[in-house]
Amino acid sequence: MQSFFRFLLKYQTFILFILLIAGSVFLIVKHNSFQRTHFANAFYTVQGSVYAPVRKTAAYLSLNRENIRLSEENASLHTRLLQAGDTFGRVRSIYDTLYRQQYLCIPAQVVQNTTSKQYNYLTLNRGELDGITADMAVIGPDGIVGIVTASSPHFATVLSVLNRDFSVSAKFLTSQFFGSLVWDGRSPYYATLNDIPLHAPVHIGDTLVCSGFSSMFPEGTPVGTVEDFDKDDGNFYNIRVRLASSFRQLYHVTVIKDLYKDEQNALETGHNLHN
Amino acid sequence: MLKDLRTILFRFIILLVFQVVVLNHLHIGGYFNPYVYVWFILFLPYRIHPSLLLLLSFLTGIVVDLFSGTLGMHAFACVVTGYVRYLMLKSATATEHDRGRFPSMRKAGFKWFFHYTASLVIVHHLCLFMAESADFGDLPSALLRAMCSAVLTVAFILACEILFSESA
Repeated sequence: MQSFFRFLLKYQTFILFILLIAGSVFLIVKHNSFQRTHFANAFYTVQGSVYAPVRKTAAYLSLNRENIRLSEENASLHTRLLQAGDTFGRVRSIYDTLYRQQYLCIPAQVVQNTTSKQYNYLTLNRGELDGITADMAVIGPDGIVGIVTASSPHFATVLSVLNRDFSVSAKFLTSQFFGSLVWDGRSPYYATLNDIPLHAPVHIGDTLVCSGFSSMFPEGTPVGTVEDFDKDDGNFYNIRVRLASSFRQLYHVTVIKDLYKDEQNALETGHNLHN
Repeated sequence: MLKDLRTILFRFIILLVFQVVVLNHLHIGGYFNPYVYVWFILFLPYRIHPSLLLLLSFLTGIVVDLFSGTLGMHAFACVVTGYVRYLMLKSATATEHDRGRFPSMRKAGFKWFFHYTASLVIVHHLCLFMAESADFGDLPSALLRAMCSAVLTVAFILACEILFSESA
């Protein structure tokens, strides 16, 4: 027993080293497998409340640019509204019995955002109290941003497009061919579109939008444009996509709630069960 | 002794706030993410107890982790760095005594300090970026990002050391 204690004392540094390494590896593994949801309430409230004032101060510096972007977005929405009025002879009423409202938009601001890691997340300053729950889509002024992974009463965390776990179904605006968009972890400006067959017409500069198949992002939400493409070994194109959103400048975003999602999911899972 | 404790605490707070508020939001070309807070581990006194060194390294890493949303990765890199520092100085301090209490360029000379800083920063960055890429699928890219960032971190630490020793 005495020699055991002498052994412990002699190698205490090495033993402590091994223990601490084991501890941190445990944290890494556990944190990844829990997908952050178990930490959401305590951990992200602390993180969010520290970053919120910092981000609020920094927001003043880019106020001018943000205003310009918001007024541009406003103008384009006005244009669409006028066109809609033109087509139907009147502006569509949201509570009409024929045209039911499918999507609900909740405005939010980004309080914490990373773009330089392999698994990037954002934190928003709105949470459960504003009706935000997991699996809602988040879009910015220019296009898709990410998907809500967890929410606490006042904050929500978002799986960014710039995350290697992210994937979304995107299609060409003109040809309707669709594939899955993923991020390769290299540049915050580009992502990769897979599964587009070789017979599809692809041109540099083509616009890509959400297909609506993933039932989170509304169909037609901008994703990006084709920057470059080549043929991989199989029967598919390898397409490099310039993302529409500029993730380093993100501040004002919109969280989208799909009011029909539960109904659609219930139908689809029920359908699968019967097969 | 109390003065040393104050210096250490002061550095701890300054470096962590600088890292979390400024550097974590600095991205140059996607490949340069300097992690200057590792300077805190390099700067701890020569005669610090090895166990205390490891515990402080772990603590530093955990605090940075909490604010970067990467629980465990910085802690892992910091503990490895702390242990390598212990191994390095254990073999070196026997012959070289009068370098002052803290490792600094002014007392230890540019060459020694450069070797000391560069090797530990590289160890830290390699561990960190490899832990981040996790699946080893993109190892060359992780190595490149680690080395680019390490160059920036070392340059920053050396520049600060030069400025400090000018004024001291």
